[in-house]
Amino acid sequence: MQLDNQLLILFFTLASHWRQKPLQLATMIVGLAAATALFSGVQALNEEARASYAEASDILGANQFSSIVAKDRQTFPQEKYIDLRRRGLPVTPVIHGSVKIDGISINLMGIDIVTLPQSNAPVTLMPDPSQGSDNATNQFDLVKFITPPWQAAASPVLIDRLRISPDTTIDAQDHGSLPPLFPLKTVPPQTIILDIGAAQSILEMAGVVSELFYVGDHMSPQHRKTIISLGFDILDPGQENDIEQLTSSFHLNLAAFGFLSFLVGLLIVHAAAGLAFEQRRPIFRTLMACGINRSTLMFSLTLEVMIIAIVAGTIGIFLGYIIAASLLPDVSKTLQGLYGAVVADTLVARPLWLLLGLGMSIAGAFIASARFVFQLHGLPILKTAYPEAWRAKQSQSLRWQSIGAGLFLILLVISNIVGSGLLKGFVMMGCLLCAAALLLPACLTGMLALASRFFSKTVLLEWFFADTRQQLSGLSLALQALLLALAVNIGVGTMVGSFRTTFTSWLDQRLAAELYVNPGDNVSYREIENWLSRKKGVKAVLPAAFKEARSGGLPLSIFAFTPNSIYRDHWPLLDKSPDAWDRLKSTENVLINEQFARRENVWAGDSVAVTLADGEKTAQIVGVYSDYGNTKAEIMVPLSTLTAWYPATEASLFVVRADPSLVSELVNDLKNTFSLNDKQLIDQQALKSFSVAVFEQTFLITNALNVLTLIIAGIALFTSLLSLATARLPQLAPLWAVGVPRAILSRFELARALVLALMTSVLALPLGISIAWMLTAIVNVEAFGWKLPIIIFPGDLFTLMVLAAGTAFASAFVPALQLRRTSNAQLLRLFAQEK
Amino acid sequence: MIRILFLRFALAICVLDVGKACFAQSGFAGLGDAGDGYEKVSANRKFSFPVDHGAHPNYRIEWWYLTANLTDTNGTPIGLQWTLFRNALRPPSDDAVNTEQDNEQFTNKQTSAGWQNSQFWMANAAITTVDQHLYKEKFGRGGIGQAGVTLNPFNAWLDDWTMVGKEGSGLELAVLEANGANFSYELEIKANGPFVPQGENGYSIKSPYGQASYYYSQPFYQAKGRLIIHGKVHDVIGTAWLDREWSSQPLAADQTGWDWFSLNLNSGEKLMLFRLRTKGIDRKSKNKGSSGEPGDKSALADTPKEFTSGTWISADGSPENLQGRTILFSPKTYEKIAGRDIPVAWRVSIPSKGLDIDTVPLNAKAYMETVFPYWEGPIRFSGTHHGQGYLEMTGY
Repeated sequence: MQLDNQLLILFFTLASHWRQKPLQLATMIVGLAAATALFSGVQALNEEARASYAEASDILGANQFSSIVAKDRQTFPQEKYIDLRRRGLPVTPVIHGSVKIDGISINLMGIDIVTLPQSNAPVTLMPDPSQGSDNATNQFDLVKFITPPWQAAASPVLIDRLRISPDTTIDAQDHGSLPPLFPLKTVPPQTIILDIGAAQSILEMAGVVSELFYVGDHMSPQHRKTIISLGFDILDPGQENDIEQLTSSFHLNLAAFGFLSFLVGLLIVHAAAGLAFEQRRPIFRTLMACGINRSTLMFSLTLEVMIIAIVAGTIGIFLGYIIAASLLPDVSKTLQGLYGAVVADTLVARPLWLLLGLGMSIAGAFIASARFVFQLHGLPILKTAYPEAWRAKQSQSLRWQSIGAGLFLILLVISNIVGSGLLKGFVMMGCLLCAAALLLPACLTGMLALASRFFSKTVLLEWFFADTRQQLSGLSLALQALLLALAVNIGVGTMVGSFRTTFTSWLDQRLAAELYVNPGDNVSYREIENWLSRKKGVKAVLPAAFKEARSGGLPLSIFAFTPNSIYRDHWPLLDKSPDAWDRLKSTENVLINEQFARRENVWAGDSVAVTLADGEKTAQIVGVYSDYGNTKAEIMVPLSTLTAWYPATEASLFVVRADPSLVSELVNDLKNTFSLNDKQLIDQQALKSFSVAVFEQTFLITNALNVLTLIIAGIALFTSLLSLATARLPQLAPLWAVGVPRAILSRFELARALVLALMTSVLALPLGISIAWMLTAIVNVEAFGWKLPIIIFPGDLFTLMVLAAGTAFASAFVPALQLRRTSNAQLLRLFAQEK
Repeated sequence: MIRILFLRFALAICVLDVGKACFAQSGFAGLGDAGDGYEKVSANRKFSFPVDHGAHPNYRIEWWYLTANLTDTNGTPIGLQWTLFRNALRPPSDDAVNTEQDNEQFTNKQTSAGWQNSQFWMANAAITTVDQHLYKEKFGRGGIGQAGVTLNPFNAWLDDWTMVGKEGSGLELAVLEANGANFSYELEIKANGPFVPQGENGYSIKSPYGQASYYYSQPFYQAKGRLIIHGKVHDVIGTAWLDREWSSQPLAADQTGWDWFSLNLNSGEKLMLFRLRTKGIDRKSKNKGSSGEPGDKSALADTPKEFTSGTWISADGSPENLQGRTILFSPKTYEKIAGRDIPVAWRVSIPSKGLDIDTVPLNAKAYMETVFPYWEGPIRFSGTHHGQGYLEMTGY
C-alpha cells in the first residue's frame, strides 16, 4: 500500500512537468499519433486490398479454369456453347457486362450455376450466416436464382452501400431493373453474380455469351483440338494476369511510405522525449536524493511512456482509419483501373489491425524514449544537471554514423549485384536512404565549415556558423527526417512526372488514328469495311488482327496491322534496325514490345521463335516498341505476314483514319447502322482521356502520402527546434550580455533553420534523383517490364526547396519568437544559476 | 492495343453445389411435395405412342429409365444404366411455353425460350460388374438445346449422352450412348414385344392416399453393344428394360423411399414390383405388406408402414396388375455403404402367384453416390423362379 502510494506520488510528481509544458506533451502525442496514423492507415489500405484479393482469388476463374474465348474477344452465339456441350466438353458459359446503379458502375457476371462443377466447390452459393437475417426472402433459393424474376448475389458490402433491402428490385439506370440481391461474402465487392439468362436479359445480350470456362480436371488434347477447330482461343489458367503479383509493387510502395512516415514520426517522439528528460533532470536528482530508488523511477517513467503511447496510439489509429477510409476509394479506383483488381471501397476495421496499430505505437514510444529511461540508470545522484551532456556525446557518434553509412552503401552494391525482383529495388532504395541519412550530419558539418570560410565576415557571423555546427547534433534527427521526406518526394515526383510525360506522348504516338472499330462476331467485317471506305471524311480503313501464340513456352500476343504511314510516322520505337519499317515487308521480320525484349533480352538484330497452333516460326527482330500498360509480351507484324503464317487469319479490328471533326458523326452512324456499342467503337480522344484519367488516379495516393510525409518532417523539425530553444538559452545569454539585441539573435535562429533546411534540400536533390532512377530503372522494370526515361522538372524541384525552406521557417518561427520575448530577468537568471 | 489499354477486369466465378439444391426442389427428395399448379394424374388416360415417348412438361417430374443385364463374349455379366430425368422448376401456369398437345412444338418452343425455360434436366449413367461400379451424373438446363426430348425420330439427350430412336420406329429400335471418367458405352436396343402399361392401364397408384403416376415399360428389349471399361473393350449382348414414368406428385408426403424390382424370369415372363416405405418403418424388419386401394379408409386407419404393388407380365406382354395382392419383401443381407445399411439381398414372395425367390446382387456395392444417392444394380434370383433383373433402392 505504501509502495502504491509512493508510486502514485512519484508518477504525479513526474507528470506535473507536462502540466507546465503542455506544448511539449502535445508534440509528443502529435508525433506518435501521426506516426501511428500513417503507419496504420497504410496498413489498413493494404489489408483491405489483400482481403479483397483473397476473396476474389478463391473464386477467380482465371486461377482455376481455362477460359475459352472468341478470337476477337467479343461475345459469341450461345449455340457454340451448346455445340461444345453436345460434343461432351465440360464447359460452362459466362457473360460479362456492367450496369450503373446510383452512379456506381457494377460488373454483372452471368453464370450457369447448373453446369458449374459440383465437386470440390470452394464456394457454395449459400446464404451468408453472418447476415443473420431471418427473412426467408433473404435466403438463396436455387429456383429463384435461375428462373424469372431471378435473384442475384452481391457482397454484403455492396448491398450495404446501395442500401438495398432484400427482395426489392434495383433500378439500374441504363438497363431497367436488376433482380433482388442476396448477400454472399465471396462475391467481389463491385460485382453482382446472377443467372446467365437474367444477365442476358438485363444487358440486352440475348443468345450470346462472353466466354466459357473449361471445368474438367484436365483438358485432353482432343478437347483442345475441338475447341480450336471451332474457332476459339484457349486462355489457360495463369495466362491471365496474376493480380497479387501485379499489385505487389503498388502495395510495397504504400508499405514503404507507411514505414517511412512511422520512422519520421518516431524521430519527433525521440526529440520530445529527449527534451522532457533533460528538463526533468533536476527533478530526478531531487527525487533520488529523497530516497526514491532508480528502478522505481524508471518504472514510473515507463508507465508514463506507456500511457502517452496508448493515448497517442488510439488517436493515431482513429486518424489512420480516417486517412485510409478517405484514400480507399482512390486506391480501389487505381487498382481497378490499372490492374483490374477489384477492391472494396468501404473500409472494414479489422481487430488485428487495431491491435497492430496500438502495438506499433507503444513499441515506437519505447524505442524513441528507451535511451532516456535507461540513462537514469547511470545518472550520478549529486551531479549537477547538465542538459548538454547527451548531446555532446552525439558528436562522437558522427564517426559511427559514417561507418554505418559505409555499411549501408556496401549492402546497396551487394544487393544490386546479387538481388533480383522488386525486393532488390526496394532494398537498394532503403540502403541508399539510410546511408544518406547517416551521412547527413557529416555532410552538413562540412558544408557549414566551407560556408564559414566564405561568409564569416564578422565575429557575429563566425559565431553563427560555429554555433550552427554545434547545434547540428541536436537537430540532426529532424534534418534527417527532412532529408528523407524531401528525397522521397523528389524521387516519386520525378518518377510520376517522367511517367506522365512519357505516357502522354506515347499515347499520342500509339493512338494516332482517329477511330478504332472492333465489330465482333455478329457483324460482317467486309460490310463495315465497304461502308467505311465509302464514307465521307474517312481517309483510310486499316484492318488489324490479334492472335494468341507462345514463345519459349510463355504466352505472346501477335498484333497484325495494315502498313500505313500512321505506324511508320508515329509508332514509338526504342530500338530499331535501319529501314525497320521497310524490312517488315518480309515475313521473316517482326517488331516486338519492350516487355518481350526485356524479358528475353532480345533486341533489334536478334531473332525470336514464335509458336503458333500449327508450328513454329523464327523471325528476326527489326525494332522494339514501348508498350506501357501492357503486361504481356507482344509482337507486331503486317497483316500479310500473319496471313502467311496462319492462313485462317481474319481481321478483328479496324483502325480508321478520318477527319477529326467528323469522328463523332461517324461513331453515331456506325452505331445506328451496325448496332455497335461503345465498347466496339473507340474514338481516340475518349481512349486518351480514359487512359490519362486512370493514370492520374494511380498517383493520387502517392502524392497524398508524399504531402503527409513532408508535413510530419515539418513537425519533427519544429519539435527539435523547440526543444533546442529552451536548452540553448544559456549559450545565447552571453551574447545578449555583450550587447547583441534579442531581435538579432532571434533572426539568427530563423536564419539557422533556413540555412540548414536549404542545405538539406540541396543534398536531397541528388538523393531524390537517385531514388527516381531506382524507381524507374529497377522497380518499374521489375514490376511492369518497361523502363522509363527520367525527366527532371526543375520547376518542381525549386517548388520543393521553397516548401522545405517554408517548413523550416514555420518550424523556427515559434522558438525565435519565444527568444525574442524572453525577458531580461530570465536571461539574467541564467547567469545567477551559473549554468 | 485497345484491348490492352482496357485492362481486363478480374472475373470471378462462383462454383456452386447446385444439383442438390435443384433436385431438392422436387427431385427424389421432393417427390412427395404437393404438385400444386402442375397437371394432375388421373385414371383412364390412354397412352398414345409415339407422342407419349416424348416429354410431358406440364407434369412436375418425368423419367426415361433404362437398365440392361448384359454379358460380354467371355460370359462376364455386366449391368448398365442410362437415365434421364426432367424436372419442372415452376408450374406450367408460370411458364407459357409448355403445351403437352404438341410435343414437337413444345421442344421447338423450349429451344427458343432460352435460359428462361424452367425445365431442369439430370442424367445418370452407370456400368456395374462383379467388382466395379462406375457411374456419372450430369445436369442441364432446358430451353437452350443442352438437354431435351424430341420425336420423329425420337431423341433424348443431355450433352453428349443420347438415346436416339431409329427413324420412324418410335422407340422400338434405338441407340444409347453415355460415358464417364473410366467408361463409355454404345448400346443398341430392339423391342421384341409390346410396350406394357403398368398399374391400371398405366395409372400406377403409389399410396393409399391416391398419389399416382403414369407408368409404362418396355421390358422386351434385346440389347447389343460395346462397352469400354478402363480402356478395355467389351462386346456385349443381353436384355434391357425401359421405364417411362411421369407425374406431378407421385409419392405421399410421408413416403421416404422405395425398393423397386424389374425381373426377367427365365420363362420369358417379366415382373415389376415395388414397395414404398413410409416414415417410421423399421427398415431392417420384414414388413407385412398392406396394399390399400386408393381412398381405402381402413387402409388409412391401419396407418400402413409400406405400400406395395406390381405387374406380372406374360411372355407375350399381357399385364396382370398385382395391386391389392399380398407381396412380401424381406431383406436378407445388409451391406454397409457410405455409412448406410442397405439391404442388398432380398426374399420376395407373392403367394397368389406361387412366387418365392431370393435375390442376390451382382455387386453389393452398386451404390450411386450422386447428388441424391441411391442403390441401383443388376441382380440374379432363384427359388420357385429363376432369372435376372435390376434392383433400385432409394431413401436409405
